[in-house]
Amino acid sequence: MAYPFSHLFHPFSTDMSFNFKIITLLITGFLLQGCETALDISNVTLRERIVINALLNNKDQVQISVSKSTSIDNKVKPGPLLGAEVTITDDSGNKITCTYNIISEKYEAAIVPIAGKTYSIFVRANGFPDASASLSIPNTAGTKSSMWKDSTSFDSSGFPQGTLTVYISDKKYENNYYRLTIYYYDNVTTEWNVLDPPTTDADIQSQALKTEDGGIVFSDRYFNGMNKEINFLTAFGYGNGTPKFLVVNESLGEEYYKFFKSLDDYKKSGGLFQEPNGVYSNIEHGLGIAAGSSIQRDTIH
Amino acid sequence: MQRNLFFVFLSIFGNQVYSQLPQVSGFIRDDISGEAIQGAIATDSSSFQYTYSNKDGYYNLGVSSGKHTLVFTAAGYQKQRYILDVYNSQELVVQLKKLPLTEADTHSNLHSSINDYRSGYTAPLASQVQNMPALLSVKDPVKFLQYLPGVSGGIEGLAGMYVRGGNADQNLVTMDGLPVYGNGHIFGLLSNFNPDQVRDVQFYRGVMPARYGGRAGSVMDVSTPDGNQYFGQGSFTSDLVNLNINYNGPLNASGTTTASFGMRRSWLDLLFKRPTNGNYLYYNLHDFNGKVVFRPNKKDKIAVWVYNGRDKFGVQFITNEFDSLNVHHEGKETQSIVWQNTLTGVNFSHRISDRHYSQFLVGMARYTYNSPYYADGTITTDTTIDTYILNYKQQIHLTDFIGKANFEYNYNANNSLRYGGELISHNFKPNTISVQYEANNISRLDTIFGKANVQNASEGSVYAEWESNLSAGLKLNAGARLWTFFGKEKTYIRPEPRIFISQLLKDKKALKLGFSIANQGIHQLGSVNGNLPSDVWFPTSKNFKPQQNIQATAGFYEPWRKGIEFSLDLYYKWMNGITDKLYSDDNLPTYNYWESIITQGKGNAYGLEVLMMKKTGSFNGLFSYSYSKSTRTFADLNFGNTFPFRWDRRHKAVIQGVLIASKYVTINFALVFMTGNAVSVPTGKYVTADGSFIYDYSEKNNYRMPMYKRLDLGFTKILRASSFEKSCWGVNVYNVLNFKNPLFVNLQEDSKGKVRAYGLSFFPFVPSVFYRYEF
Repeated sequence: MAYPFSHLFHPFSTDMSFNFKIITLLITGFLLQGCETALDISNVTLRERIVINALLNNKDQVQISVSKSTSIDNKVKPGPLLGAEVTITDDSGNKITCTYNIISEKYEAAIVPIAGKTYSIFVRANGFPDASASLSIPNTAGTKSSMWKDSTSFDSSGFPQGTLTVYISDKKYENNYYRLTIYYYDNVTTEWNVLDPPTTDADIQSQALKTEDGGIVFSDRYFNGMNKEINFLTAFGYGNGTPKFLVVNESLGEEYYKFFKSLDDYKKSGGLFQEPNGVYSNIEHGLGIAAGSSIQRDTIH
Repeated sequence: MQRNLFFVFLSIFGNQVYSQLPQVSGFIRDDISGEAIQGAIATDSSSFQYTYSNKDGYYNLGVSSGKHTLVFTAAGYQKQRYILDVYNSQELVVQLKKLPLTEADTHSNLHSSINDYRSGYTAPLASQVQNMPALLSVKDPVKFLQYLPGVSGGIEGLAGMYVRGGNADQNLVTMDGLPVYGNGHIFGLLSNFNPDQVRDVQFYRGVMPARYGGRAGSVMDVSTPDGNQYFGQGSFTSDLVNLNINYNGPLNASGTTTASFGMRRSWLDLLFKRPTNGNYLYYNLHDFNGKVVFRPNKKDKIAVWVYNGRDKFGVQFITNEFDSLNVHHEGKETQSIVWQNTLTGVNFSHRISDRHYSQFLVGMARYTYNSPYYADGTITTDTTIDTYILNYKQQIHLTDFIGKANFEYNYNANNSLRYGGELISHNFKPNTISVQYEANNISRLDTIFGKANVQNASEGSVYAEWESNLSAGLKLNAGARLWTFFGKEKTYIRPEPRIFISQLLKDKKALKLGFSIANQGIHQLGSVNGNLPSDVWFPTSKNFKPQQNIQATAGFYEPWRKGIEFSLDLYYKWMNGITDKLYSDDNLPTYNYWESIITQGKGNAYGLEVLMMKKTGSFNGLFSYSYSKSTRTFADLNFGNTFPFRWDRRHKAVIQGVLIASKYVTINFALVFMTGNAVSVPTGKYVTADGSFIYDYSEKNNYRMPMYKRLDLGFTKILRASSFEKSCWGVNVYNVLNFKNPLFVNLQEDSKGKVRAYGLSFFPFVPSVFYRYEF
């Protein structure tokens, strides 16, 4: 029921109030509008810093990338720093010098880090102060193998879709972080391709960060100390023939998570109260990240 | 040295014989309302001894037997003279008459400049706040304090306070003795203080006396009115944001019971209809002050009071559509953000004897931030119907239960003692998230996250202040506070010396020195860049140390002609355990999440402050200038190198004035110049571990924004003025010259790929109007 004078009290609810609405919006916009002014930042000097990136895990040999930062106007990514002295030392004091691999463009050592151990990285390069960092390889979550079932439900078009289930046994009383990357084996190209299936898990949907290589990173904030079951829906088509999936389930160190979280914040940065955010770095006298993870790989046929 | 000690000894004990001298004591009140006047001065003209009235307006002056001329005055009031024959102790209730606004205050100003031992202390008059030009015409005591030297307001337009280079969480802001948390209304655009519910403000930007504690930086101590004892009076104000209604008066014929009420409510949302089943967006705020005061006899006063301030922002979206595959989606989503401050207290004042006065306070201060999200709906295909309900609620709470006892004992005319203590029980709920998720009527998730962070901590302290006139013109306030913080894992006990010395110089000039150590056991996330309502408070722990400020000050004070108070202050401040963010993060409900995103370090601040203030007169106002430097050093930030504080303003100058042009017209203005604030701009670009090519922001606050400049103008026209009522309207224009004062840097690539920087500024030329009616 419409009251005779309701449009006077609720002018936005009637067409008659259109002019009033426009005027109010204009005034509000006028009051709060932001103005941009060109700033001269030419006096901010370029600081070339050494950049070290070392994401190590318990399955692969050590690879450390060493480069440097460049001018903010430069559109070309700087290449690796050659001739650097790069060493890695485990917590027992065993020190190994890394050698530069021209193909991977990284410094490599023929060792595979061990879960539960701590490693120190030291880099000396001409023109830069000595840089260092330390990282720990966390223990694996000890999960049971992932599973896939076909035709568990139907999509909105009526086609059957499968469910891929990943299990995580989270440890209680500690903050744990995970990264999941799911691959699908393409029988035609005989290659593993990253799959980005949607999850039905509301928790993971709300907090997971997507990484550049198609993985997701999340914390145990909503399932601390619990056995977590995460379901992903695989679309119709993946059930044909002999489908093969690879689930790479990584337990991340806190530094690893901080890096991805701050990178995600950096990419989304903006807003009234937000300062520009630097991406988290734990490199002493340099930039970049040194962090560890433990990998569990499940191949599902 | 020995000689000085002798004088100290003499001043305490040598006057014992005089301690039995007659006392003149009583209350100093406003003659129209009967409201207590805090900080009023009672002076014995013959001996030049003087004392100040306390929060209840109580004073106590020891005099020798005989005829005396006593002079009473207070800032903004006419002085009053009494000639008394004093042979026994006697009570004298003094009622002071307000100075006409056009008349300069030449007496209290002279007194406070040269006799008050406190440097860096300001008590603005209510009229100064009411007559300031204001953004959106909303007068705000916090924004008036931003005019003072050494006070930086932070983000443009907000009621923030960064005092002498300290963080925002270092300010002790109290309303009738209880702490006020949160950043106020509309994300900080207005403070929590209704200007019509502020009786007086005491603001210490430097050394604070031992009676204050719990925060390491400044003090803003606000007292609300008790209510008119003789007749009812009220006001109604409408500005662009609020309707503000206030009433106070006696509740019984004798005026021994009085009450004061005030309420502000935003009105814009009342124009918008909120349909039950439609999309909407709304915002509203209110705050309410209520106080009832009983005076059962001449010795006792009991005040019961409550404050509640709330902001609510909400949206609703309704979905009812078919997608391309003819699937029907129907549902409703609502989300709101509600933050609320509630204070309630009982204050009992008791005059133990003529010389001994006590005040007790029991109260609660609670700050809550809630953000509920609710969604329900159905997804219908030809063959299936799926239903879902999601209930999600984020809660951030801080609740304090507080007990305080304060005593004042006047030993003799030259020595007095204040002592007391306080106990605070904090309950922190830094972030809990409850989630209930139901799909097809089956519960999938029903739990609360972050419960492990809910914890209690308490702090207790005792203090004593000895105030003495050591010799003619030499005044001392030597105090100490023993501060204890009982955290979950560790207890900290720290002594806090607080010393003020003032020496009267030739030609009515005074030199004032101060030294203090202050500790703080609670910290706030995000108090560096500007506060948000969701910024949580968290306690000191084993890994997270208390904040501690050590401050030394020196001031030169001189009353100038026509009621102008001149002061020049120097200060140096060492800050330990100060906080800054390592990186931004959501408020994760993981255990002690703040420890991984906040770091602690050191800070230094020093500066010179000049203040010239004229509180009343046909042309009144202030000029302030400060040169200051505030830096931070953190092992984890800026490669361990020292960097400027975010709100470090090297130079700040303010000219604020009120011109009472005629009986009916008042013009006001404020001109503000400041060095631009420090911001971070990238010094390079680099490739991350995932191959992204990003800016290097590792150098903190390495760029200065252009100089900040702003001129505000205001005009008030009195429509009607009689002894019973007054009405006026006015116009305020904020930033009348439309200066662009950038706060944030935005980087954009131009067509040639070169990175250009743009400063983002707010509040260009903002006109507003208000109307006010008083009766």
